[in-house]
Amino acid sequence: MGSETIQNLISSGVGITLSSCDSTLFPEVASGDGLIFDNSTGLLTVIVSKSRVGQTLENLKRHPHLAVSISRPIDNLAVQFKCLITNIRPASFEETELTHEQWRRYMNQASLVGVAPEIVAHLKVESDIAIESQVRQIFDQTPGPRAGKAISGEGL
Amino acid sequence: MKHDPNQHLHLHDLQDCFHGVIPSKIATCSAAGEPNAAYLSHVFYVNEKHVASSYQFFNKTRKNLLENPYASIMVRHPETLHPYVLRVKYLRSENRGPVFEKMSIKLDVIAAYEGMGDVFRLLAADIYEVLEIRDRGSLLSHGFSEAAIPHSAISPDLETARVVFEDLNRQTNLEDLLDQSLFVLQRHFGISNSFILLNDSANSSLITHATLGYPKGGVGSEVKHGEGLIGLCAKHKKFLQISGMREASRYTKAILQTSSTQSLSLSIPLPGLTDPASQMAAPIVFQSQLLGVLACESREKSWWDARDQSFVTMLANFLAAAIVAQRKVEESPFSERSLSSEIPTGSEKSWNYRYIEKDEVLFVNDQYLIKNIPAKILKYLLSITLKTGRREFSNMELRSADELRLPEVKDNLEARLILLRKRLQEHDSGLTIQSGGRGRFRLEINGKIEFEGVQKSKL
Repeated sequence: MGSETIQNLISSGVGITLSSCDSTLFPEVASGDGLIFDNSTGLLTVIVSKSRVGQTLENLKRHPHLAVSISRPIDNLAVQFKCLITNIRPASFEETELTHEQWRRYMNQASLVGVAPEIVAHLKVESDIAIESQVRQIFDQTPGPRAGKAISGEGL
Repeated sequence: MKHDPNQHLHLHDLQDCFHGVIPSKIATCSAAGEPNAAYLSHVFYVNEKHVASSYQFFNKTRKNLLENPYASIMVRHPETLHPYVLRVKYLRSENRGPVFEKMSIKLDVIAAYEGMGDVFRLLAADIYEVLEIRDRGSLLSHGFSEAAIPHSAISPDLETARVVFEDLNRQTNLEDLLDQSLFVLQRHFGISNSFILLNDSANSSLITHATLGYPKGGVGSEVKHGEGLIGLCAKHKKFLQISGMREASRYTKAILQTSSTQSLSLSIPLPGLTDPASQMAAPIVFQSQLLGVLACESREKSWWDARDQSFVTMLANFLAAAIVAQRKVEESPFSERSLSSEIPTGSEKSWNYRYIEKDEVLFVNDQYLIKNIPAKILKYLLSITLKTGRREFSNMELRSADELRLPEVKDNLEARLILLRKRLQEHDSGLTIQSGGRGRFRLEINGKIEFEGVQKSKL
């Protein structure tokens, strides 16, 4: 991660990937729309669109382990949070607003790496569900030999 | 790509998602039930039931797959970003065979491009069985249809193809045929950067004979068999394309920035654009014999679809037959006509030609001009012209000249003369080679020419 903090990374516009698994341990991949991370408490709230993460929500009810990976398109800088779910609830107005702002920044990143402007202009997020979790571990996930190393202290 | 969500999806419906333009996401889970999320730089289509991903580093994803072989992979359409989820089972890792080779070629080219040949290496191709495909639905807002997005494929129709091949069929010499082929790609299909290299089997290399879209030309540049996309295309005699080059390049640079190998400078630059989004190379092959490579690249297009590939392959096949036909014409007997041998006239400008015997290299006014057989040919022509004043020559004469020692069969003589002609044109050389048709040509001299042959360079 270097001197880049996780908060800086989130605010610059990132893609969000969720991984959960069902009771047979079959994994499920999904995309998140927005993210709120509290350094001091280790609370991570992921904002998602219910229509696109149905299987993930089902999985989390039975198996509360969630992995959340964030990655910045322009340079592949990435971290992964390993979390335990504490609550699933409707997203608040403020959370939806914040998600739209994060999404806009993410789309700016996407346009920088070649996604056509007409697509960027018409992509939508619904952002109606908030998944609250307690972060247990954070790992550097930028591609390369340091991927998988635990992050602590200054990286937060 | 249009898909009815109520219809059963097949992997071939998702072909456009496998160009590596948009990174894929993978979810795995350990035997203890700990999920993991990661990015895959490229998911490859293997066949209707299987996909593959690259294994370059041992990481958590791989550890999980060895414990619990099930995974979910999200791929996206490169233009609409429409997401699909493949529910898969990891089967095995292959470190040889066609899938491994195909994946390895892309990584090798990208690694060479970034100067990371020793770092960025494919260890294996991980093969997955696709158990189910789920459509996650369009991300586009209501009222904006995916069909409204302009498709970037060149999409040639049959009528255009007919016009193109008729046009090429009218070309009467190899040089015009090669130049016109590139012009056709630009005019009809919007491919503005392309070049044709012809095989130099004696040196296991390809030499660029025609280019379009490059300010510096590049005729005479050389690519060794096996080097980069073009060299690998020649080595394997297979059509190759590298899509999503910018994404792959970003991924590679991310690795470079986190590696302790930043001082590496092993870059082997490919000829052409400095920042292509995609490249493709089609072998020009006649009856299993490699004649050359047709190479195209684009700054704008991140990927080429099956129709693009089909047309470029058709053009390469046409070129193969046309090159062989041109050789036969060139080798056929011709009727003698009077050959003039005027004394060289023209400007008073002078050029000093120096041929280095040891290296088979020709310099003009101390500037490198050309090497190997084309250099020997020009040395031969200059020697005769300066001694006797004769300036008319034939291919047959060159083939029988003892001092040139051309290979007896398939010597590619016409291609070497094209190369020599273009190099003389590009340089301020005082010489031009005028084609006389059917294997004859004339050396035109404009100014004062001095020639010396030395054993080795004075340097």
